[in-house]
Amino acid sequence: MIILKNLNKELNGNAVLTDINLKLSKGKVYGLQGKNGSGKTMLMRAVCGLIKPNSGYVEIDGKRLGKESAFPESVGCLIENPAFVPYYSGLKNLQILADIKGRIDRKDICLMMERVGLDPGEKKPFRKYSLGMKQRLGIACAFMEEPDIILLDEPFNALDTEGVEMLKNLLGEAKEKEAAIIVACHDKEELELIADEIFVMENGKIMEQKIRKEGTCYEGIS
Amino acid sequence: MWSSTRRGIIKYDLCQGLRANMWKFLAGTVPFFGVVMIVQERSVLFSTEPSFFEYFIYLFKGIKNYTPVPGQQFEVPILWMIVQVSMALIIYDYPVVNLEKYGIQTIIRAKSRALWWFSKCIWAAASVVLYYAVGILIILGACMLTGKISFIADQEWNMVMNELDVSLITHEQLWLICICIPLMSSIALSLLQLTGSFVLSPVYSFLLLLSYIVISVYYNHSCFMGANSMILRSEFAMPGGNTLSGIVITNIIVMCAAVFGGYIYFRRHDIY
Repeated sequence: MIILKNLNKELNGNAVLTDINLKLSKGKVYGLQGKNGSGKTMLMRAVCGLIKPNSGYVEIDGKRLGKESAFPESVGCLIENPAFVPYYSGLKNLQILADIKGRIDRKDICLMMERVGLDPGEKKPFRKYSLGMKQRLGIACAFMEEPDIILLDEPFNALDTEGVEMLKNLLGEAKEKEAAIIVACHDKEELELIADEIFVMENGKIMEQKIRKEGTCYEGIS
Repeated sequence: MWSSTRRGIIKYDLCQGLRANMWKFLAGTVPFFGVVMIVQERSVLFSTEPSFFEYFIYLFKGIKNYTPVPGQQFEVPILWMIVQVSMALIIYDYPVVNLEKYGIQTIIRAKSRALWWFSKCIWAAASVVLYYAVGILIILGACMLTGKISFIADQEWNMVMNELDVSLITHEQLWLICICIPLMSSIALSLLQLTGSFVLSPVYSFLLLLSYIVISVYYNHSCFMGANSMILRSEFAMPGGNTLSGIVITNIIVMCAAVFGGYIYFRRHDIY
Protein backbone atom coordinates (compact mmCIF):
# COMPACT_ATOMS: atom_id res chain seq x y z
CA MET A 1 0.00 0.00 0.00
CA ILE A 2 1.27 3.47 -0.95
CA ILE A 3 -0.02 6.35 1.15
CA LEU A 4 0.59 10.00 0.34
CA LYS A 5 -0.59 12.16 3.22
CA ASN A 6 -0.92 15.96 3.06
CA LEU A 7 2.03 16.03 0.69
CA ASN A 8 3.34 19.48 -0.21
CA LYS A 9 6.40 20.36 -2.22
CA GLU A 10 7.85 23.66 -3.33
CA LEU A 11 10.74 24.04 -5.73
CA ASN A 12 12.41 27.44 -6.13
CA GLY A 13 9.45 29.10 -4.45
CA ASN A 14 6.85 27.46 -6.71
CA ALA A 15 4.36 24.96 -5.33
CA VAL A 16 4.73 21.83 -7.46
CA LEU A 17 2.61 19.56 -5.27
CA THR A 18 -0.14 20.85 -3.02
CA ASP A 19 -1.96 18.87 -0.37
CA ILE A 20 -1.81 15.50 -2.08
CA ASN A 21 -3.70 12.72 -0.30
CA LEU A 22 -3.76 9.32 -1.96
CA LYS A 23 -4.03 5.68 -1.03
CA LEU A 24 -2.80 3.32 -3.72
CA SER A 25 -3.21 -0.43 -3.49
CA LYS A 26 -1.25 -3.22 -5.08
CA GLY A 27 -2.63 -4.99 -8.13
CA LYS A 28 -4.08 -1.84 -9.65
CA VAL A 29 -3.19 0.61 -12.37
CA TYR A 30 -3.52 4.27 -11.38
CA GLY A 31 -3.54 6.99 -13.97
CA LEU A 32 -2.30 10.53 -13.51
CA GLN A 33 -3.88 12.80 -16.05
CA GLY A 34 -3.01 16.42 -16.60
CA LYS A 35 -1.36 18.97 -18.81
CA ASN A 36 2.37 19.58 -18.93
CA GLY A 37 3.53 21.09 -15.64
CA SER A 38 0.50 19.85 -13.71
CA GLY A 39 2.69 17.93 -11.24
CA LYS A 40 2.40 14.35 -12.56
CA THR A 41 6.15 13.80 -12.83
CA MET A 42 6.84 15.45 -9.47
CA LEU A 43 4.30 13.18 -7.83
CA MET A 44 6.14 10.19 -9.29
CA ARG A 45 9.46 11.54 -8.08
CA ALA A 46 8.01 11.92 -4.60
CA VAL A 47 6.82 8.28 -4.64
CA CYS A 48 10.31 7.26 -5.79
CA GLY A 49 11.97 9.17 -2.95
CA LEU A 50 13.81 11.44 -5.37
CA ILE A 51 12.32 14.66 -3.99
CA LYS A 52 11.74 15.40 -0.32
CA PRO A 53 8.37 16.86 0.66
CA ASN A 54 8.25 20.18 2.50
CA SER A 55 5.43 18.78 4.56
CA GLY A 56 3.42 15.59 4.63
CA TYR A 57 4.84 12.21 3.78
CA VAL A 58 4.94 9.21 1.49
CA GLU A 59 4.51 5.84 3.19
CA ILE A 60 5.14 2.56 1.39
CA ASP A 61 4.17 -0.71 3.09
CA GLY A 62 4.22 1.04 6.48
CA LYS A 63 7.63 2.66 5.98
CA ARG A 64 7.90 6.41 5.60
CA LEU A 65 10.19 7.55 2.83
CA GLY A 66 13.00 9.74 4.11
CA LYS A 67 12.70 8.33 7.62
CA GLU A 68 12.48 4.56 7.76
CA SER A 69 13.74 4.13 4.21
CA ALA A 70 15.26 6.44 1.63
CA PHE A 71 13.70 4.74 -1.38
CA PRO A 72 10.96 2.18 -1.97
CA GLU A 73 12.15 -1.40 -1.47
CA SER A 74 11.33 -2.43 -5.02
CA VAL A 75 10.53 0.12 -7.70
CA GLY A 76 10.91 0.32 -11.45
CA CYS A 77 10.47 3.60 -13.25
CA LEU A 78 10.47 5.40 -16.52
CA ILE A 79 10.45 9.06 -15.62
CA GLU A 80 10.52 11.65 -18.39
CA ASN A 81 12.76 10.52 -21.23
CA PRO A 82 14.47 7.14 -21.12
CA ALA A 83 18.08 8.00 -20.28
CA PHE A 84 20.85 5.46 -20.65
CA VAL A 85 24.58 5.45 -21.22
CA PRO A 86 24.78 6.64 -24.84
CA TYR A 87 27.70 4.52 -25.99
CA TYR A 88 26.56 1.18 -24.52
CA SER A 89 24.17 -1.20 -26.29
CA GLY A 90 20.69 -1.72 -24.89
CA LEU A 91 21.67 -5.06 -23.35
CA LYS A 92 24.81 -3.66 -21.72
CA ASN A 93 22.84 -0.73 -20.30
CA LEU A 94 20.29 -3.04 -18.70
CA GLN A 95 23.02 -5.44 -17.58
CA ILE A 96 24.98 -2.78 -15.64
CA LEU A 97 21.79 -1.61 -13.95
CA ALA A 98 20.70 -5.17 -13.11
CA ASP A 99 24.15 -5.86 -11.65
CA ILE A 100 23.52 -3.26 -8.92
CA LYS A 101 20.80 -5.38 -7.35
CA GLY A 102 22.04 -8.70 -8.68
CA ARG A 103 18.48 -10.04 -8.70
CA ILE A 104 18.20 -11.01 -12.35
CA ASP A 105 20.70 -12.44 -14.81
CA ARG A 106 21.54 -11.87 -18.46
CA LYS A 107 18.97 -14.45 -19.59
CA ASP A 108 16.16 -12.59 -17.81
CA ILE A 109 17.27 -9.31 -19.36
CA CYS A 110 17.33 -10.85 -22.84
CA LEU A 111 13.82 -12.22 -22.34
CA MET A 112 12.56 -8.82 -21.23
CA MET A 113 14.19 -7.13 -24.22
CA GLU A 114 12.49 -9.60 -26.53
CA ARG A 115 9.18 -8.95 -24.76
CA VAL A 116 9.41 -5.25 -25.56
CA GLY A 117 10.40 -5.96 -29.16
CA LEU A 118 14.13 -5.29 -28.95
CA ASP A 119 16.87 -7.59 -30.15
CA PRO A 120 19.25 -8.34 -27.25
CA GLY A 121 21.98 -9.16 -29.77
CA GLU A 122 21.76 -5.66 -31.27
CA LYS A 123 25.24 -4.09 -31.03
CA LYS A 124 24.05 -0.58 -31.87
CA PRO A 125 24.79 1.91 -29.08
CA PHE A 126 21.85 3.52 -27.29
CA ARG A 127 22.51 6.93 -28.87
CA LYS A 128 21.75 5.45 -32.29
CA TYR A 129 18.40 3.99 -31.20
CA SER A 130 15.24 5.47 -32.69
CA LEU A 131 12.84 7.23 -30.30
CA GLY A 132 10.59 4.18 -30.25
CA MET A 133 13.50 1.85 -29.43
CA LYS A 134 14.63 4.17 -26.63
CA GLN A 135 11.14 4.13 -25.19
CA ARG A 136 10.98 0.33 -25.40
CA LEU A 137 14.32 0.05 -23.61
CA GLY A 138 13.04 2.39 -20.90
CA ILE A 139 9.97 0.19 -20.49
CA ALA A 140 12.13 -2.95 -20.31
CA CYS A 141 14.23 -1.27 -17.61
CA ALA A 142 11.14 -0.43 -15.53
CA PHE A 143 9.70 -3.95 -15.74
CA MET A 144 12.77 -6.19 -15.83
CA GLU A 145 13.21 -6.80 -12.11
CA GLU A 146 9.47 -7.39 -11.53
CA PRO A 147 9.24 -4.54 -9.02
CA ASP A 148 6.36 -4.08 -6.55
CA ILE A 149 5.86 -0.50 -7.70
CA ILE A 150 6.04 0.59 -11.34
CA LEU A 151 6.04 4.27 -12.30
CA LEU A 152 5.66 5.15 -15.96
CA ASP A 153 5.74 8.74 -17.16
CA GLU A 154 4.21 9.16 -20.62
CA PRO A 155 5.01 5.54 -21.55
CA PHE A 156 3.06 5.68 -24.83
CA ASN A 157 5.36 8.35 -26.26
CA ALA A 158 6.94 7.25 -29.55
CA LEU A 159 5.33 3.79 -29.43
CA ASP A 160 3.62 2.38 -32.51
CA THR A 161 0.38 0.36 -32.33
CA GLU A 162 2.29 -2.86 -31.72
CA GLY A 163 4.29 -1.14 -28.96
CA VAL A 164 1.12 0.13 -27.27
CA GLU A 165 -0.27 -3.42 -27.31
CA MET A 166 2.98 -4.77 -25.84
CA LEU A 167 2.83 -2.21 -23.03
CA LYS A 168 -0.78 -3.08 -22.24
CA ASN A 169 0.16 -6.76 -21.97
CA LEU A 170 3.07 -5.97 -19.65
CA LEU A 171 0.84 -3.81 -17.48
CA GLY A 172 -1.75 -6.59 -17.30
CA GLU A 173 0.87 -9.13 -16.22
CA ALA A 174 2.38 -6.79 -13.62
CA LYS A 175 -1.09 -6.14 -12.26
CA GLU A 176 -1.68 -9.87 -11.90
CA LYS A 177 1.58 -10.10 -9.97
CA GLU A 178 0.18 -7.54 -7.52
CA ALA A 179 2.35 -4.60 -8.53
CA ALA A 180 1.08 -1.09 -7.86
CA ILE A 181 1.33 0.77 -11.14
CA ILE A 182 1.17 4.51 -11.67
CA VAL A 183 0.99 5.80 -15.23
CA ALA A 184 1.18 9.48 -16.06
CA CYS A 185 -0.23 10.55 -19.38
CA HIS A 186 -1.63 13.73 -20.84
CA ASP A 187 -3.86 11.72 -23.20
CA LYS A 188 -7.18 10.95 -21.53
CA GLU A 189 -8.18 8.24 -24.02
CA GLU A 190 -4.93 6.27 -23.67
CA LEU A 191 -5.16 6.42 -19.90
CA GLU A 192 -8.78 5.29 -19.81
CA LEU A 193 -7.82 2.13 -21.68
CA ILE A 194 -5.48 0.94 -18.94
CA ALA A 195 -6.21 2.64 -15.61
CA ASP A 196 -8.46 1.38 -12.83
CA GLU A 197 -8.49 4.81 -11.24
CA ILE A 198 -7.58 8.16 -12.70
CA PHE A 199 -6.46 11.26 -10.84
CA VAL A 200 -6.76 14.48 -12.75
CA MET A 201 -4.04 16.93 -11.77
CA GLU A 202 -3.76 20.67 -12.27
CA ASN A 203 -1.19 23.06 -10.82
CA GLY A 204 0.17 20.42 -8.47
CA LYS A 205 -3.24 19.55 -7.03
CA ILE A 206 -5.51 16.56 -7.53
CA MET A 207 -8.68 18.08 -8.91
CA GLU A 208 -10.70 14.97 -9.66
CA GLN A 209 -10.68 11.23 -9.02
CA LYS A 210 -12.39 8.83 -11.41
CA ILE A 211 -12.91 5.12 -10.77
CA ARG A 212 -13.50 2.60 -13.53
CA LYS A 213 -16.94 1.03 -13.32
CA GLU A 214 -17.36 -1.29 -16.28
CA GLY A 215 -15.27 -1.52 -19.43
CA THR A 216 -13.92 1.96 -19.98
CA CYS A 217 -16.75 3.71 -18.14
CA TYR A 218 -15.51 5.92 -15.27
CA GLU A 219 -17.34 7.39 -12.33
CA GLY A 220 -16.10 10.69 -10.92
CA ILE A 221 -15.99 10.75 -7.12
CA SER A 222 -14.56 14.17 -6.42
CA MET B 1 31.42 -8.19 3.54
CA TRP B 2 30.45 -5.86 0.73
CA SER B 3 26.98 -6.46 -0.57
CA SER B 4 26.43 -6.99 -4.29
CA THR B 5 24.60 -3.64 -4.40
CA ARG B 6 27.68 -1.79 -3.11
CA ARG B 7 29.93 -3.64 -5.48
CA GLY B 8 27.47 -3.07 -8.32
CA ILE B 9 27.18 0.69 -7.94
CA ILE B 10 30.90 1.22 -7.37
CA LYS B 11 31.71 -0.94 -10.39
CA TYR B 12 29.13 1.06 -12.39
CA ASP B 13 30.72 4.38 -11.45
CA LEU B 14 34.26 3.22 -11.98
CA CYS B 15 33.54 1.77 -15.44
CA GLN B 16 31.07 4.36 -16.60
CA GLY B 17 32.77 7.40 -15.02
CA LEU B 18 36.21 6.51 -16.33
CA ARG B 19 34.85 5.70 -19.78
CA ALA B 20 32.89 8.96 -19.91
CA ASN B 21 36.09 10.90 -19.22
CA MET B 22 38.41 8.96 -21.49
CA TRP B 23 39.16 11.94 -23.76
CA LYS B 24 39.80 14.19 -20.82
CA PHE B 25 42.25 11.64 -19.46
CA LEU B 26 44.07 11.59 -22.78
CA ALA B 27 44.15 15.39 -22.96
CA GLY B 28 45.32 15.47 -19.34
CA THR B 29 48.53 13.65 -20.23
CA VAL B 30 49.86 16.83 -21.87
CA PRO B 31 51.79 18.06 -18.78
CA PHE B 32 53.46 14.66 -18.40
CA PHE B 33 54.64 14.69 -22.01
CA GLY B 34 55.55 18.34 -21.50
CA VAL B 35 57.79 17.58 -18.54
CA VAL B 36 59.42 14.72 -20.46
CA MET B 37 60.25 17.08 -23.33
CA ILE B 38 61.57 19.87 -21.10
CA VAL B 39 63.68 17.59 -18.90
CA GLN B 40 65.07 15.73 -21.91
CA GLU B 41 65.92 18.97 -23.66
CA ARG B 42 67.87 20.19 -20.62
CA SER B 43 69.53 16.88 -19.89
CA VAL B 44 72.30 17.77 -22.39
CA LEU B 45 73.61 20.16 -19.72
CA PHE B 46 74.31 17.28 -17.35
CA SER B 47 76.58 14.28 -17.40
CA THR B 48 73.89 11.86 -16.19
CA GLU B 49 70.48 10.98 -17.57
CA PRO B 50 67.59 12.28 -15.46
CA SER B 51 66.12 9.78 -13.01
CA PHE B 52 62.42 9.16 -12.36
CA PHE B 53 62.47 11.78 -9.58
CA GLU B 54 63.96 14.58 -11.70
CA TYR B 55 60.82 14.52 -13.83
CA PHE B 56 58.42 14.55 -10.91
CA ILE B 57 60.35 17.18 -8.94
CA TYR B 58 60.30 19.39 -12.03
CA LEU B 59 56.57 18.78 -12.48
CA PHE B 60 55.54 19.40 -8.88
CA LYS B 61 58.22 21.80 -7.70
CA GLY B 62 55.92 24.79 -8.18
CA ILE B 63 57.50 28.02 -6.94
CA LYS B 64 58.84 29.34 -3.66
CA ASN B 65 56.85 32.02 -1.87
CA TYR B 66 55.75 34.76 -4.18
CA THR B 67 57.64 37.97 -3.48
CA PRO B 68 57.28 40.62 -6.18
CA VAL B 69 60.65 42.05 -7.19
CA PRO B 70 60.58 45.15 -9.44
CA GLY B 71 62.02 44.37 -12.85
CA GLN B 72 61.99 40.62 -12.27
CA GLN B 73 59.52 38.50 -14.21
CA PHE B 74 57.29 36.26 -12.14
CA GLU B 75 57.56 32.63 -13.19
CA VAL B 76 54.16 30.99 -13.21
CA PRO B 77 54.37 27.20 -12.53
CA ILE B 78 52.59 26.32 -15.76
CA LEU B 79 53.05 22.52 -15.66
CA TRP B 80 51.95 22.29 -12.03
CA MET B 81 48.86 24.35 -12.86
CA ILE B 82 48.00 22.27 -15.94
CA VAL B 83 48.09 19.10 -13.81
CA GLN B 84 45.64 20.65 -11.32
CA VAL B 85 43.35 22.01 -14.04
CA SER B 86 43.38 18.68 -15.93
CA MET B 87 42.10 16.92 -12.84
CA ALA B 88 39.47 19.60 -12.28
CA LEU B 89 38.28 19.01 -15.86
CA ILE B 90 38.11 15.25 -15.30
CA ILE B 91 35.97 15.69 -12.17
CA TYR B 92 33.96 18.57 -13.71
CA ASP B 93 30.36 17.40 -14.29
CA TYR B 94 30.17 13.60 -14.52
CA PRO B 95 28.37 13.09 -11.15
CA VAL B 96 25.86 15.91 -11.72
CA VAL B 97 25.10 14.90 -15.32
CA ASN B 98 24.91 11.27 -14.24
CA LEU B 99 22.34 12.11 -11.56
CA GLU B 100 20.23 14.19 -13.93
CA LYS B 101 20.16 11.42 -16.53
CA TYR B 102 20.71 7.73 -15.92
CA GLY B 103 21.70 8.23 -12.25
CA ILE B 104 18.03 7.98 -11.27
CA GLN B 105 18.06 4.34 -12.34
CA THR B 106 21.17 3.60 -10.27
CA ILE B 107 20.10 5.46 -7.13
CA ILE B 108 16.69 3.78 -6.90
CA ARG B 109 18.38 0.40 -7.29
CA ALA B 110 21.08 1.23 -4.74
CA LYS B 111 18.23 2.40 -2.46
CA SER B 112 20.64 4.65 -0.64
CA ARG B 113 21.69 8.24 -1.15
CA ALA B 114 24.75 7.57 1.03
CA LEU B 115 25.87 4.69 -1.15
CA TRP B 116 25.37 6.71 -4.32
CA TRP B 117 27.30 9.66 -2.88
CA PHE B 118 30.19 7.62 -1.49
CA SER B 119 30.40 5.76 -4.78
CA LYS B 120 30.92 9.11 -6.56
CA CYS B 121 33.59 10.03 -3.98
CA ILE B 122 35.34 6.72 -4.68
CA TRP B 123 35.10 7.45 -8.41
CA ALA B 124 36.66 10.92 -7.91
CA ALA B 125 39.54 9.51 -5.84
CA ALA B 126 40.02 6.62 -8.30
CA SER B 127 40.10 9.06 -11.23
CA VAL B 128 42.90 11.03 -9.58
CA VAL B 129 44.83 7.84 -8.76
CA LEU B 130 44.44 6.67 -12.36
CA TYR B 131 45.55 10.05 -13.66
CA TYR B 132 48.73 9.87 -11.57
CA ALA B 133 49.25 6.24 -12.59
CA VAL B 134 49.09 7.28 -16.25
CA GLY B 135 51.61 10.04 -15.49
CA ILE B 136 53.95 7.62 -13.73
CA LEU B 137 53.76 5.22 -16.68
CA ILE B 138 54.55 8.01 -19.15
CA ILE B 139 57.59 9.06 -17.12
CA LEU B 140 58.74 5.47 -16.63
CA GLY B 141 58.39 5.04 -20.39
CA ALA B 142 60.53 8.14 -20.95
CA CYS B 143 63.17 6.80 -18.53
CA MET B 144 63.23 3.49 -20.39
CA LEU B 145 63.56 5.14 -23.78
CA THR B 146 66.48 7.27 -22.63
CA GLY B 147 68.48 4.37 -21.25
CA LYS B 148 67.60 3.23 -17.76
CA ILE B 149 65.02 3.53 -15.03
CA SER B 150 66.72 5.07 -12.01
CA PHE B 151 65.11 6.02 -8.72
CA ILE B 152 68.13 7.87 -7.36
CA ALA B 153 67.71 11.63 -7.50
CA ASP B 154 70.76 13.44 -8.84
CA GLN B 155 72.04 16.21 -6.60
CA GLU B 156 73.57 18.41 -9.31
CA TRP B 157 70.53 18.07 -11.53
CA ASN B 158 68.14 19.13 -8.81
CA MET B 159 70.27 21.96 -7.47
CA VAL B 160 70.56 23.52 -10.92
CA MET B 161 67.17 22.70 -12.42
CA ASN B 162 64.89 22.51 -9.41
CA GLU B 163 66.63 24.58 -6.71
CA LEU B 164 66.29 21.62 -4.39
CA ASP B 165 69.07 20.02 -2.33
CA VAL B 166 68.10 16.36 -2.49
CA SER B 167 71.02 15.33 -0.26
CA LEU B 168 68.90 16.54 2.69
CA ILE B 169 65.98 14.35 1.70
CA THR B 170 65.73 10.60 2.30
CA HIS B 171 64.58 8.22 -0.42
CA GLU B 172 61.26 7.63 1.38
CA GLN B 173 60.72 11.38 1.77
CA LEU B 174 61.30 11.81 -1.96
CA TRP B 175 58.52 9.34 -2.73
CA LEU B 176 56.32 11.24 -0.31
CA ILE B 177 56.91 14.73 -1.73
CA CYS B 178 57.01 13.66 -5.37
CA ILE B 179 54.08 11.25 -5.51
CA CYS B 180 52.14 10.75 -2.27
CA ILE B 181 51.66 14.38 -1.20
CA PRO B 182 50.68 15.73 -4.66
CA LEU B 183 48.36 12.73 -5.07
CA MET B 184 46.78 13.27 -1.67
CA SER B 185 46.35 17.02 -2.27
CA SER B 186 44.79 16.33 -5.66
CA ILE B 187 42.33 13.86 -4.16
CA ALA B 188 41.38 16.41 -1.49
CA LEU B 189 40.87 19.12 -4.12
CA SER B 190 38.84 16.78 -6.32
CA LEU B 191 36.53 15.81 -3.46
CA LEU B 192 36.08 19.48 -2.65
CA GLN B 193 35.20 20.17 -6.28
CA LEU B 194 32.80 17.21 -6.36
CA THR B 195 30.90 18.58 -3.35
CA GLY B 196 30.94 22.06 -4.85
CA SER B 197 29.48 20.78 -8.11
CA PHE B 198 26.34 19.66 -6.24
CA VAL B 199 26.07 22.58 -3.81
CA LEU B 200 26.74 25.26 -6.46
CA SER B 201 26.99 23.86 -9.98
CA PRO B 202 29.75 22.15 -11.96
CA VAL B 203 30.70 25.42 -13.66
CA TYR B 204 30.90 27.49 -10.47
CA SER B 205 32.70 24.73 -8.62
CA PHE B 206 35.26 24.49 -11.43
CA LEU B 207 35.75 28.27 -11.57
CA LEU B 208 36.11 28.47 -7.80
CA LEU B 209 38.71 25.72 -7.88
CA LEU B 210 40.60 27.54 -10.64
CA SER B 211 40.63 30.71 -8.54
CA TYR B 212 41.78 28.68 -5.56
CA ILE B 213 44.64 27.19 -7.59
CA VAL B 214 45.71 30.63 -8.86
CA ILE B 215 45.59 32.08 -5.33
CA SER B 216 47.70 29.13 -4.18
CA VAL B 217 50.44 30.22 -6.58
CA TYR B 218 50.63 33.73 -5.15
CA TYR B 219 49.86 33.05 -1.54
CA ASN B 220 51.38 30.31 0.58
CA HIS B 221 49.16 29.16 3.40
CA SER B 222 48.20 25.69 4.53
CA CYS B 223 44.54 26.59 3.80
CA PHE B 224 45.44 26.87 0.14
CA MET B 225 45.65 23.24 -0.72
CA GLY B 226 47.39 23.77 -4.03
CA ALA B 227 50.42 25.18 -2.25
CA ASN B 228 50.63 21.97 -0.25
CA SER B 229 51.62 19.99 -3.29
CA MET B 230 54.42 22.37 -4.35
CA ILE B 231 57.72 20.78 -3.44
CA LEU B 232 59.53 24.13 -3.25
CA ARG B 233 57.19 25.26 -0.49
CA SER B 234 57.84 22.22 1.67
CA GLU B 235 60.09 22.18 4.70
CA PHE B 236 62.71 20.42 2.54
CA ALA B 237 63.09 23.37 0.22
CA MET B 238 62.76 26.39 2.46
CA PRO B 239 63.06 27.16 6.15
CA GLY B 240 59.64 27.36 7.75
CA GLY B 241 58.08 25.62 4.74
CA ASN B 242 55.02 23.40 4.93
CA THR B 243 55.71 20.33 7.05
CA LEU B 244 54.76 16.87 5.81
CA SER B 245 52.62 16.21 8.88
CA GLY B 246 50.87 19.57 8.48
CA ILE B 247 50.12 18.87 4.82
CA VAL B 248 48.82 15.37 5.56
CA ILE B 249 46.57 16.62 8.39
CA THR B 250 45.20 19.49 6.26
CA ASN B 251 44.49 17.09 3.40
CA ILE B 252 42.70 14.62 5.66
CA ILE B 253 40.56 17.38 7.19
CA VAL B 254 39.61 18.71 3.75
CA MET B 255 38.81 15.20 2.45
CA CYS B 256 36.59 14.39 5.43
CA ALA B 257 34.87 17.79 5.30
CA ALA B 258 34.20 17.41 1.55
CA VAL B 259 32.93 13.83 1.75
CA PHE B 260 30.74 14.22 4.85
CA GLY B 261 29.68 17.81 4.08
CA GLY B 262 28.68 16.66 0.62
CA TYR B 263 26.78 13.72 2.05
CA ILE B 264 24.83 15.94 4.48
CA TYR B 265 23.90 18.21 1.58
CA PHE B 266 23.06 15.34 -0.76
CA ARG B 267 20.77 13.69 1.82
CA ARG B 268 18.33 16.60 1.37
CA HIS B 269 19.07 17.25 -2.30
CA ASP B 270 16.04 17.04 -4.60
CA ILE B 271 16.66 14.99 -7.71
CA TYR B 272 14.62 16.40 -10.56
